Amino acid sequence: MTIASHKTKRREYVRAMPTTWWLQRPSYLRFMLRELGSGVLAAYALLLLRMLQLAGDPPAFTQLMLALTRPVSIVLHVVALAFALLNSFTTFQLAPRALKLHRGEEQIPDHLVSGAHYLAWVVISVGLLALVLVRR
Amino acid sequence: MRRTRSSEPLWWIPFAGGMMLDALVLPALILITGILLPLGLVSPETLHVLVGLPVVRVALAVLIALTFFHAAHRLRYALVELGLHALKPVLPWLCYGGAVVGSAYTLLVAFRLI
Repeated sequence: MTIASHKTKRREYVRAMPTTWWLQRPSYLRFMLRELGSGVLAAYALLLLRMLQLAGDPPAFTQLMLALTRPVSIVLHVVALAFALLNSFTTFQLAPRALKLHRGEEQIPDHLVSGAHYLAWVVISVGLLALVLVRR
Repeated sequence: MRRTRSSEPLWWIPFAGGMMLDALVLPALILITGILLPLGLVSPETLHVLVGLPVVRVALAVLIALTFFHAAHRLRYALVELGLHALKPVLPWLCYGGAVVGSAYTLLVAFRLI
């Protein structure tokens, strides 16, 4: 018999899928955008890292701040903001699944757990903006 | 039944922490550096003073490191689902390795050691 039995190493079964499967349904697309968006967020983290790096070098820091006013930077930030918001909404929607809180015997309803996360988000965001906004 | 020991729980904690921290602070930070600064509503000097403060440096370092782990954990699976089956054995090493190295570098920068 000529069955290729000499190769006994098990190989994982990979179901044939078109590479574009995630374009077939809006929910798949949203899932894939959320996953890939994490890479965009990591790229934004590199800008924050650059700001930490240049803090001790005022002329270089000023150059970086100047670069942030260029149109290409603004466009990239708008894209990053869209992915960041997608991550925020999906995370807060999912929070009740990860966090099962009980008061006595009763479970605290999902919308309250989600709502608390949205509230924390608003408070933190307003706090951060208040910290940096120019006062006139 | 033999079970293969998984390192999954180890990576899940910084991933989940990064996902939540990113969800809470990144939209505001992106708005600040990307839109309010170019509009002149935030001054570059304010940001410069802030990134010089030790407490802000530590906070940003934690945020940056957890963001790396958040991305590493998601991309590890997403890239396989996009068809990169050949990379499946090395992706955990690439992704988590990158996050570990990136985080260590970030901490050194934050404490002005390099």
